[in-house]
Amino acid sequence: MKKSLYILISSLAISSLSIAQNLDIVYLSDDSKFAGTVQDVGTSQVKFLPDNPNEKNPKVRKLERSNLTLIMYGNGAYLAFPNSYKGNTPPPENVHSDDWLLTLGGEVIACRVTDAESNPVKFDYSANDTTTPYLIPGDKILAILFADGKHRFFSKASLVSTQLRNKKMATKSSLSSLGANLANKPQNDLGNEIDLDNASFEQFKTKALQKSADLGRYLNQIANKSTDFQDANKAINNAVELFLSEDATVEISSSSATQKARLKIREYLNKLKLLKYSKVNIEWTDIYYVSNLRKGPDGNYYGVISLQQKFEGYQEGKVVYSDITRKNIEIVLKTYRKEVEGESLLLWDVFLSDIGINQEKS
Amino acid sequence: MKKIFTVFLIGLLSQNLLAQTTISKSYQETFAFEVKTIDEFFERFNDEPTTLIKDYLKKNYPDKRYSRTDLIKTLFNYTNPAWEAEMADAFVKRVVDSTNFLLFYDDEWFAKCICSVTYKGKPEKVTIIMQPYQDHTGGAKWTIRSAYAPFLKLPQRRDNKKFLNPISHATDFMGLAKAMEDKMNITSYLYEDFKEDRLAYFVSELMNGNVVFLQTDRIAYHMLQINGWGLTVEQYRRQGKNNGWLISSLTKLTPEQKENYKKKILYID
Repeated sequence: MKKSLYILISSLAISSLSIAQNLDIVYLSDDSKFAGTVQDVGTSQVKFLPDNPNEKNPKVRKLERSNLTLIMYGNGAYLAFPNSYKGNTPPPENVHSDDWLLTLGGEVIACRVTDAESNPVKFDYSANDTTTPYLIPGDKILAILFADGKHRFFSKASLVSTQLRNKKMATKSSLSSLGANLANKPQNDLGNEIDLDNASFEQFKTKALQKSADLGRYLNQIANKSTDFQDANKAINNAVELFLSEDATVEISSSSATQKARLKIREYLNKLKLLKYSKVNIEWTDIYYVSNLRKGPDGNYYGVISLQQKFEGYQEGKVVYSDITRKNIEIVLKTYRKEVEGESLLLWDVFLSDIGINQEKS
Repeated sequence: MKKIFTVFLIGLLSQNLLAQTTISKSYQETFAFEVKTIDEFFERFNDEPTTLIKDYLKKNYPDKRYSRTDLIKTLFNYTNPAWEAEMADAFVKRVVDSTNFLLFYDDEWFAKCICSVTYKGKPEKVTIIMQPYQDHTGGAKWTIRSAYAPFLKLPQRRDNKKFLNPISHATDFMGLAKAMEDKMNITSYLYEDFKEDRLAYFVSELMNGNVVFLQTDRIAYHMLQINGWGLTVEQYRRQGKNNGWLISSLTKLTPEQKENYKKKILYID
C-alpha cells in the first residue's frame, strides 16, 4: 500500500485523525482520502499533486470533479462538492478564523476548541466580548474544522460535505438545542436560558399555555351574569391560584384615558364580576408567542407569553362592546426540591404573573 | 432606498393585501409579523432556528425562501425611516458576514424609559435608563442605571464670592449654616471636581416622597454592543407586517463616540 502513488490515509473517512497543517486533503466519493496539494479546480477536473515521500518526482493527477466529495485545504478552507467553484487557490469565503464545530443538523458553532480529544469535546464560545466554556458530546457533532487547517471528522466525509453546503451559523442561545452545555454549569441547574427546543421548555410551554387557557375559562365564568355568585367567587379563587402570588398585577387600558390602570389580580377579577354586560365572551386566538426562559437571581426562570384576547360584551343578546388586545403574560417557572425515595430531585411548576396590555384594536 | 432594501418585504407586503379575507386572518398575520418583545427582536436578528415567524412563514408561505439578511431587514421601520438605506445595507452585511449576534446578557445595551411621575404634586416626566445585569450564578435582572429629569438638576451656579473662608474652622464652621441656607448657590460651596449624581438625587426625591412614580409611557432600546454601530429600537403600534419593536435609527459610532453617546443620550457618566 505504501508503494501506491497516493498516500491512502484511510479507507473510510470516519476517523479521529488530525492532518498536518499545509497539506490539502481530497475526499473521494467512496470516502477514501488523499493528502497533497490541490493546484487547480477546473470545470470538470481537479489538478492534484499527491504528497508521497516514496516518490521522488510525483506526477500531477487529474481527478474528475464528479468523483470528489470534499477538499479540506491546508489553510482551513474547504470546498464541498458539488459546487461551481473554479480557481487555483482555496475559496477565500470558506476560510475561517475560528474553529468550527459542525453539528448533526448542519449548524456551525464558531468557537475555540480547547480539547478535541475528550468526550464531550470542550470549547470556548465568545460573543460580544464574553467567553463561555462549553461541552458538547461527540455524538452531536459531525466534524471539527480547526482554524489552523487541521480537521477531525466524526462521520463520513460525504455527510460532512452535504452539511457544509447547507451550513448555518449557530448562535449562543441555540447552543443548548444543539446539545452543548455550559462547562461550569452547577449540578441540576437548568442553565441561564432554557432554549425553545429543549425538552423542559416544551413541557413549560404546554403548562404555561394550559394555565393561560384556564385563566380564560375562569374569566368567562366570572364575568357572565348567568354564573351563580358563589360559583363566581370560587372561580376567582381558582384563577388567583394560577398566579405566583396575590401581588400579580393586571394592566387595563381605556380608550378614554392615557394613563393605564393597574390592578392586583383579585381586585381585577372582582371588578370583572361586576361588569354591566349580561354576557361576555373572552377568548384567546390560536396564535401565540412564547419567549425563551431566562434565569433570575432568585433561581426561578422567567418568560413571557404573548397572545391576542378577543373580548365581547353582550346586552340583550347583542354585542355592545368588543375589542382585540394583545396581552403579554409574564410566566414564572419556579423550581423546588423534593425528596423521592431518598433522592433529592429538582422539580418545577409554572405560574402566571403580571399581565401587560400592549395595544388596543377594536 | 427601497430598491436596495426591501427585496423580501415587497413580496410579502403585496400578499398581505390579498390575504385580508377575514378580520381574524388579518389580525393573526399582524400578530405573527409583529416583533412583540425585544426577545423576539433578538430571535429574528440572530436567525434563531425555531421562532414564531419561521413557523408562520413555513405554514402560510411555504414557497418563500429567506436568509438571515432578509430577516434582519424586516426589523427596520419603513414608515418615515430615520436611517439611510446604504448605511443599513452596510450594517446588515457587516452583521451577517462577521456573525454578530445580540444577546440579552450583552453589556452595552440599555432601555431608555420615558416615565410619568408627579414631582411635588405636579405631573412631570423622568427618563430612567435600565441595563441588564447578570450575577455570578447566571441569574439576570434589569437594573436602574441612571435617571434624568430637568427638575432633578442641582443649581449649577458657581459664584466665587460664595465660599466658606479659609479660617471657618476657627469658628467650628459656623459658616456652614449660612451655606446650607444659600440653596441657589449651594454648588459654590462644594469641592471643585464635584459631579452631580442624578440617580442618587432621583432616589432621594423618591424616598422623601417628592417624586411619585406613575407609569412608563415610552421605551427605546439603545444598542451599542455591535462594533462600530449604534442602533435604536422603538415600538411601532400599527396594523400590517412592519410593526412592533423595530430599528428606528442607525448610526456609525467610534468607541469614543459611543462613550459620548452614553453621556449625552443615556445620562451615564
